[in-house]
Amino acid sequence: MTDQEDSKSILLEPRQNIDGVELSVRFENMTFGYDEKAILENINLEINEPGLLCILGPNGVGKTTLVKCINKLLKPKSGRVFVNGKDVSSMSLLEISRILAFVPNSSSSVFSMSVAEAILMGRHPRAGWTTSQHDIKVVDSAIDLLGLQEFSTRDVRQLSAGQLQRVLIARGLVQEPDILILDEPTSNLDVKYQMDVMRFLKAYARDRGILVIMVCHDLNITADYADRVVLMYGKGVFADGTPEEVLTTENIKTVYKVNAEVNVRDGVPQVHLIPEYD
Amino acid sequence: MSGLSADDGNIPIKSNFEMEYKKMTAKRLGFIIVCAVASLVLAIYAATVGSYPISPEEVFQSIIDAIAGNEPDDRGIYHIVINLRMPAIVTALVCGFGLAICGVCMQSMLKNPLADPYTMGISSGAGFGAALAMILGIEIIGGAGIVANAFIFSLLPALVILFLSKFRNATPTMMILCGIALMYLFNAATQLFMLIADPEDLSAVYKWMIGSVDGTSMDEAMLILAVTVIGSIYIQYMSNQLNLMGLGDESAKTLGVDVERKRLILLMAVTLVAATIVSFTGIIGFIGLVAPHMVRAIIGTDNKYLIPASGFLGAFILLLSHIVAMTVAQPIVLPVGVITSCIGGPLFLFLILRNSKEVWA
Repeated sequence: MTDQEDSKSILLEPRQNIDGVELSVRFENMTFGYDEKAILENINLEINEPGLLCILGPNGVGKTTLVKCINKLLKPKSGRVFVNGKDVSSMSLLEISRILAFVPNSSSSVFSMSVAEAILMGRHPRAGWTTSQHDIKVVDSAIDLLGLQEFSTRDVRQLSAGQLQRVLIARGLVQEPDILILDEPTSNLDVKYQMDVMRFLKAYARDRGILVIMVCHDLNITADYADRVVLMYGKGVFADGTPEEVLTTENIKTVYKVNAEVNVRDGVPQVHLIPEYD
Repeated sequence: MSGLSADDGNIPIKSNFEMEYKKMTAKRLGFIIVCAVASLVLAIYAATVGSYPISPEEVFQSIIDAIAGNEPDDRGIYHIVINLRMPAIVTALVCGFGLAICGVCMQSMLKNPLADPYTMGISSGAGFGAALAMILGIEIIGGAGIVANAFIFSLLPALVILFLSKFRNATPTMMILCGIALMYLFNAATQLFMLIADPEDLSAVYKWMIGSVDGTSMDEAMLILAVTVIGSIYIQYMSNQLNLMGLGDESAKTLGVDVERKRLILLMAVTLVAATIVSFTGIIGFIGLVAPHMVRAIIGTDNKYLIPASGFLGAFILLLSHIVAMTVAQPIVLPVGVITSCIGGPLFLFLILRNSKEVWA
């Protein structure tokens, strides 16, 4: 085994289920809203199969809101959310961050910080007060995995939006989570990196045996890589299943109000949106 | 399973953060040691400066006699070094250290490069308390006068923020706006007192507001030292959390930091240290702002190293300012706050011009 393979193996080892805890995220009659207005109503959803789950839906339907209720960034008005069988309202943020990593769509820093230092911050839930050799090795491994070697010493504020998105994914990976949640992780990436990141996340979920949940907008990327799709509409879950079950002409018409042609090839739907002209 | 390729598509070299981290750590520790040693050397030099010339050897001997409790050979020199010069030197070192550490903490936890120990209205609260005692003769704790008044009123803004946090999240914006509102309120009241003050009181209030390290006794300096050490240990312990707070509240929470709660506790720690300092010395500006930014430009923004390095650099700058204040217009001793502002203002402008892209956005 080469040094590089040895380094990479740290982050790609299968999840050790030492405590016998089964991975799961479960929403139980969850309602969320601001003031009197409900954004999500009576959500009942269980995610417990390792793999890549994509959450789709039109703008403002509450996709990001839904995932932020999992890690207590937002607090539901009623109902409960469970992570690995525990009610998140009874868990501390540190306890949650040891199970679950959240990769935001973007991030800003006032003070300068190198890419490697920014990724090292992701070790906080698992590291002690001092930085160990293991922490540094994990960071090196994440830099290699995300192809960030050439700018690992660069200031994060000088990165392009796409490069920053890869840094944020790397920060999520070094948390070594059981559940990885990503909010539109490919929105600023070019097509090559969109496909690379999706391929990587799918393989990462499969090989480590963990849940990867991502909010997404691209129907075809979702169709190509997702193991399961949750389509949201009208304050709740509209459809839930495999890409073939969810991405149908009727569902796309109802949720997005656009006409689409869906062809299924080898079990993978290919969505062709039909443009309308004035 | 393979990872992502590099931007140019070439097979990249393996990341070597391990080596980079070792180099950075050595540089950071080296800088901290240099600042600490420079402060101590400057302290010895400072004790030689004054109307009566004393050699560094005599300063050393006096300090050793004081620590060991020996009977000094020359009581005159011993008295000048230990009783007259050392209290101001120790006060300058401790206050410089404390103000700089409070500055780092405020800047990181509020995600604001312009924050300093006085951002929350601590200085205006202290000024109001001092003016109350000097002009109106109103003392919260009888006998303790100006110091007790300044201390109690400088705690008020933090207590108001603590109270308001029961109803709203203690976000950086909410805290800064609260601090500004209270600053205007206290300043207006202080100015009202100054309008009705007699010239002697007015001069005393004005001098207090510039800040000085001359008036403190060794016992008072030790009290400031005790509070600063306790506050510094806690702030240093929280250095990892402060790093995460600099990423923004959402990121910090997802990495396990209970941001609102920790920010309030840190605010209390900073307030206690800054209030203790300001109540004995008056308002010494710029140390809390300039020292952290100078250090960031040299060793980066990791609070684990930034906190002690800024502390020692702050101690060095304040002591240097004290020496300048004593010597620049001899035999008149200027309030040290004048010097810190004179050095701090241009230095800050220089840092903005030189490092605007590298150090802060």
